[in-house]
Amino acid sequence: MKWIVLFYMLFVNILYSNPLVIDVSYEDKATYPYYLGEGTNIDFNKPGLIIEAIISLEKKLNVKFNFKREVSKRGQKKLEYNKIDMLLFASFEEGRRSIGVYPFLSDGSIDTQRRTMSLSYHLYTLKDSALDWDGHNFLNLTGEIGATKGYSIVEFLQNKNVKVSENSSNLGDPQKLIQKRIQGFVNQDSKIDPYLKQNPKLAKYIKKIKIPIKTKPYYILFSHKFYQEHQDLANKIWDELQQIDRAPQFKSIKDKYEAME
Amino acid sequence: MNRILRILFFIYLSLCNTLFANQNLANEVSTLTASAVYDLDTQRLPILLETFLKQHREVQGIQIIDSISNGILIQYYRDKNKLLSRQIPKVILTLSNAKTEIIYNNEIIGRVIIYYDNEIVNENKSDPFVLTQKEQNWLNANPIQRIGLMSYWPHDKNNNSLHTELLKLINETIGTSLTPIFFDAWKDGFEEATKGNNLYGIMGLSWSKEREEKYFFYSSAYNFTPCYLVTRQEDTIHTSLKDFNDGTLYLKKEEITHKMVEGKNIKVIDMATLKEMCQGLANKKEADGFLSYFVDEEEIKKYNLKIAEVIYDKYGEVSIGIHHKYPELYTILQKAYQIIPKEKIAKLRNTDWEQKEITESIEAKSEVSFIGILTLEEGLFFIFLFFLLLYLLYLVYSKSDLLNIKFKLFTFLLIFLEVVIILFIIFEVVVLDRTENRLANAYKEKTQLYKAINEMKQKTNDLIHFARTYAITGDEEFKEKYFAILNIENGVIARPKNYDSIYWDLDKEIQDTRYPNEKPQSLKDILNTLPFSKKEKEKLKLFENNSNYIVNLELRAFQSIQNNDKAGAIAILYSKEFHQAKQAIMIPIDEILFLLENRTNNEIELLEQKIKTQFKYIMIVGILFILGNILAYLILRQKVTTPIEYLTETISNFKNNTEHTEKKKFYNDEIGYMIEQFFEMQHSINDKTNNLEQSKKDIEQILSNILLPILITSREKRTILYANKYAEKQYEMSLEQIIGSTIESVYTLLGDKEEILNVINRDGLVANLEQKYQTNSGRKFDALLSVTPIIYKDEPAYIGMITDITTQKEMELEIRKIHKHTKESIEYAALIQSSLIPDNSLFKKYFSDYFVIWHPKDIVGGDIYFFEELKNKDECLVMVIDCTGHGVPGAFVTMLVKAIERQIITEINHEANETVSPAQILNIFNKTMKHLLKQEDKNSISNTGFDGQVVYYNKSSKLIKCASARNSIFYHQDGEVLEIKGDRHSVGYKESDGDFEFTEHTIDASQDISIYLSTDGYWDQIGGEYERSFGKKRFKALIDKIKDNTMEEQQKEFIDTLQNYQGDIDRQDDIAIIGIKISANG
Repeated sequence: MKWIVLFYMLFVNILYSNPLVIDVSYEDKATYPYYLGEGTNIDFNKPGLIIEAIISLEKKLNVKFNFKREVSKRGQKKLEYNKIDMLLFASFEEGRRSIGVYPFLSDGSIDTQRRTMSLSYHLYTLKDSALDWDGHNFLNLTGEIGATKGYSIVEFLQNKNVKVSENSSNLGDPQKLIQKRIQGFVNQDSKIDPYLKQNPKLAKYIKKIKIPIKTKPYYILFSHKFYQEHQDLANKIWDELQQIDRAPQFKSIKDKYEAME
Repeated sequence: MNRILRILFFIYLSLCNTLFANQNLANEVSTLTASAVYDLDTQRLPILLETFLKQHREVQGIQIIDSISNGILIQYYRDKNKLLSRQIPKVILTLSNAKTEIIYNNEIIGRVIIYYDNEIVNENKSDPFVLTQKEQNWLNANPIQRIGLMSYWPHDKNNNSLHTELLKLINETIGTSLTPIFFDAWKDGFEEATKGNNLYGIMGLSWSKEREEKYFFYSSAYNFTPCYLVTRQEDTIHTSLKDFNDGTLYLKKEEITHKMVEGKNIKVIDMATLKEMCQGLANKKEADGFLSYFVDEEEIKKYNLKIAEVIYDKYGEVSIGIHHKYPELYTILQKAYQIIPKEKIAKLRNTDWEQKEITESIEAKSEVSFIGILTLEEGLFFIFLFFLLLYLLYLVYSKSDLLNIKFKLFTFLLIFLEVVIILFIIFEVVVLDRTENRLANAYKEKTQLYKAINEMKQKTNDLIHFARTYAITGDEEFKEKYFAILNIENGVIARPKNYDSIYWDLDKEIQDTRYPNEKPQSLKDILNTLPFSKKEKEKLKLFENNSNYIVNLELRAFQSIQNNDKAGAIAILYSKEFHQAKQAIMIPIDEILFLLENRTNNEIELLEQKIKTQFKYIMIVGILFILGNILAYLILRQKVTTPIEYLTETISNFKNNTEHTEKKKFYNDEIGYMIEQFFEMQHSINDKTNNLEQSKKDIEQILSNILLPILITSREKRTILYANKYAEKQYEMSLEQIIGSTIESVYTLLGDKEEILNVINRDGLVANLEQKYQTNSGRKFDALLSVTPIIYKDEPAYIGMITDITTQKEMELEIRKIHKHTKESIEYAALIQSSLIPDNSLFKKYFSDYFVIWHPKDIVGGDIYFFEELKNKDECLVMVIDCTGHGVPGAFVTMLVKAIERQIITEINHEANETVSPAQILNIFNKTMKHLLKQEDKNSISNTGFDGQVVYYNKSSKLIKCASARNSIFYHQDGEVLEIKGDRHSVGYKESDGDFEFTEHTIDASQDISIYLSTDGYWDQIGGEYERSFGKKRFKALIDKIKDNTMEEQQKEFIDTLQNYQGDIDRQDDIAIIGIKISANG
């Protein structure tokens, strides 16, 4: 009996010492410098600032992150049905509270301090175009504005009575703009700027309007099930990864990606 | 056993085939939708599934289950011909199904379940009529297939007809989109269809070889068109085609009617058109009738013809003709015909579409009406129009720019609308008139038909009555009356006029008076001429047949009476059989009456309804027209009349210089623009007027300050309108005296007045014309007159300015005197200078030939030449000197140079052994001049000297020595022109070196030689095309050109060449050239 108890204790110990596997889903489109590369494959040599930062927490938190890239809509649905534990990233929308858990304050409101990053949406248009954004309104807008399907900016634009041409790829917009199928497009500059840098032929014709259309905080979301089971762990992750581009502990990783640019 | 196994095996194979086929369909959906399911793209998925379902008729429903939520992501099912994205009904869920997983990026992302109908699957498998891929592709490429139909074919009020319903049936069956296009004339539709561009085919097409060969594929027949036998109205012999045995018929050339007479003993005459056949029948009498599938009732009436028989036969089959361009559509249609149950087409064919229309029109009466006249929709539409007009009215009066009509466009629209409305009203009135005529005809026809039916009924009763009365009474009169009726009805005896009313109950006398006999005409013929419908005619035929039976019974009863069996006769006439026979006649009559009542009432009701509607439209359009005109008037008033009145008033005020009208803002149209522009123009004119006023003041201010007398004189009155203060002084009169006076009262023109007028007339003005004047006080003065025509204070005037030049004139005289004196002095100086010039005859002593050109630029000059004989009579010196400057200063220098030269010569002649050296001579000149003119000092005021050549010649030794300050010496010897360049040093100038040693050159003159000495005046002369210096090069070339001429000729050539080169350009400098020729033998 004594041996059985000992064996049981040892087994439990081994079991608990095994790291917890956390299934993470993130978008299959690059957002420089947070995550790089397009498509479902992940290049672990340079996966992006946020991915490296998350991986660096594995030892500290005794967890193992299992990453998967997919379209954001799919990731969100998986989160909603507890098929994944963690989703990178989502801007805050009241309706999304049902699909996952945001970092929140004791009063239930969103804890913006624990945002992971902020991304700005900018207007891009042709260099000879009169289209402009004055911080509140579009100026000289006569045609359609391109935006990526599934991004909340689509709704934002539609609420402003802008005719939106939705695109499934972030990188389709510049092409559509060059072909003058749209008058301009709105996208995260962290996605578009590196792309234009790599494609000087396109960049030659496209200008970025400096005043951002919108700057939005982005959060890590946990599935309801995961949060219920690992509330402390979730809070630790939020704490560790809050405002990642300012966090001193990730400076070296950040420098690495800045050097890449 | 073996056989059973084989069957079982085939069943198994068939089952497998079906199962796998459906599994493949599920796989197809899985592959088709994988990407969209992965993206959860709920916009793309419906499109994909609808496409799939359209292609697979056997699939009744599809469910796609998402692996994340394990719920249905999307589902579709087929409800008849619709595809619905709703929860699939149980009835479909109970069908057979096939499932498969949806895999994307090696991940199972969902499942697909398809529900299929085994029967359709099997049908599809066994049905050879499923569209081929090619046909499906054709349908995709031609989404709408237009088929021609005639608008006059029987149809209901919704334009539904056998033809349109058949097209719908085909569309539903095979998935085509056959769309009817209506034509008012067969010719138009047929022609369009033969082109095969806009129309893919045409319906109601009967067969002809030409049509089939040239244009169309014929689908299976779907209807029959009757063929009409037409005869003359009066023809009672030819009542059917059978009666034409041994007869003659017109037939339309190449028409299918030829088939109908094939094998019959009928002679055929071909005609080109229906009209020709009608005309032929009416006029030529060579045929007694014609057959045609198409008849024009009006044409028939016009030629007094009638339709004797309506024939339904196989040649009247009509089909859908599909143009040869579209074979795929033809095969698709044929497949559709195979699928569509024949009963369905038969049902459509048997529907009486016109009757349906009547029934429906009666039913339509119960529709919701609006104020009893209009339908609800019409009422709402006209209310909308009314409010629209009110709104326009409001816009007019609210001066909104919304109704900012450009005038031209407005005028055009107004005229256009007026024309359209007027045309519409005219059209409606014409249609109304025609409808009213049709209504009158309908009433007339109704009466005729009723009269005819009434006659049938009446005469039947009369016949029975007379037969029975005869049987009971045995009175022969009744029998006669009976037969009289029969004979009248059969057209054997004359028919009394108005025979259909009461006749037989009246006395013979009254009958003869009121009902005189007319020509015999059978009831059958009368009925044939009446417009009974087909069904009514069928009933008439029944009546006729049954009438024969009752007549037979009556005749049998008469026979019994003849056989004295009165009781038998009565028994027959009152028998059940007789009663039934009567009923057999009366039922058709009753039915005809019923049909007739329905048809005619409906027709009349329809026409009345139509009249009401047309009247209603006329009224409404009329009201709209009036309202529109009121609106147009208001718009015109508001937008045209009022602004123009305002503009007129404004212009008038502006013209009369009265108070300015207040500026009003009108519409932004042409008139508004005119008003706006007028105000701008008015503003601009005011500005300019003010500017002009100011300019006038400024000018008067300027004129008053000009230090010359100025007068402005009226051109007509010659009175002075304006004078400045200097005029007072000039004319020794006050301004008050001057202004208003005539010119003549201010001064007297001593010169030629005519000249001034001539100049003004010629040049428009006078500028500085010198004239003599005299003031009223008698003072005479010379003056320059300038006169310019101007408008002064709206009056044509001259502005005149007189510049008193009396002083200038006096000064001029003085100057002239001085000039004359100076000129005389210079001329005298020239005499003196010319005395320095050597006697040219001396040249002859030393040289075989020579010439001298000495042309001072002015009267006197700076160029001079000397010739000196030395003490040894064989020796001489020739010098050409170009002194500083020209004219008088130059001449002065030449005098000095001459003095020095004389001194040098004297010294040479005094020194016995002195060797004459030209270079030394120049050295002496240099030193002496510098010394004499004190030019050794660099601060000296004067700076005078010369350039020149000195040539020494010893006749006996034939030696020439020469030296030159700057100017080259040219000589010609041995056919060659050579240049001795002068030292680059002038003689005597301040900057000249007093110790300079000039170079001496020696030339052997033992051979013929010509020497040319020249100042730079010749080669520095400007001229030629580019106005450049003549140059030494050209000078040398000239010498080379003329070297063999005599010296006199050379002189002339030198002068002419320079003159030509110089042209009109002034001479620049003095010119001196000496040419000497030394002959070896001389």
